[in-house]
Amino acid sequence: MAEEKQNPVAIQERPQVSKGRLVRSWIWIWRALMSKDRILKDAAEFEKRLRDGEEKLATPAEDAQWAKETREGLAALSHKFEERLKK
Amino acid sequence: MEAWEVILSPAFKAKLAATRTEFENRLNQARSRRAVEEVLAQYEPFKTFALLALDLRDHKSPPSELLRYYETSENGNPLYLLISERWCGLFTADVSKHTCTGINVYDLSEIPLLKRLKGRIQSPFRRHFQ
Repeated sequence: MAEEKQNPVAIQERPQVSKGRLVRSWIWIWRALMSKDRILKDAAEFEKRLRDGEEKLATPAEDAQWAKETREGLAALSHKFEERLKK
Repeated sequence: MEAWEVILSPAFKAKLAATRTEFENRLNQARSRRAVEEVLAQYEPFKTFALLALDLRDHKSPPSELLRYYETSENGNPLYLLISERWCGLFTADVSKHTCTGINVYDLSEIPLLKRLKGRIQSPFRRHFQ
């Protein structure tokens, strides 16, 4: 206050933040916090399920067929796109 | 040096399968060439991401090159992200067992923070994967 009395120009130079901008900033911060929570929450839930024996993980060897079929499925869909674009 | 085993959780695999099916349904519903091209433009990044995850699993790419450190979980395990354009995979590593587990898959367009963080996430965290 003392500075403002001494130098009235200082008051005018303060950046004016509109209500809209303030609200948008808060929304972005809230969404950011929620998103961060979502990743950490998923990780925590996964670790808990793993600890409790509820999460059954297949070994890479058991998953080999699934991986092969998934690769083939992706390639097949790409081929389907190509076919549609040829028409 | 022992290779890292990469395991994908049922949720991770289910999300890959569901997303692929979703793209197939959208392709079947597309009535014009332009609509097909639009779906294809969204499918290609997903396919790239899915192949990267499969390459990790199949030891075709080392985790140290693809995964980026993100955060530490409540239990103190390091969490890593596999990011490819708008797709992101969440992984955790067990250093003692030399295993890396894929937990879930996210569409970055649904997670604004990750979109912003994309450029800020630390470079590959090699020290855990050596």
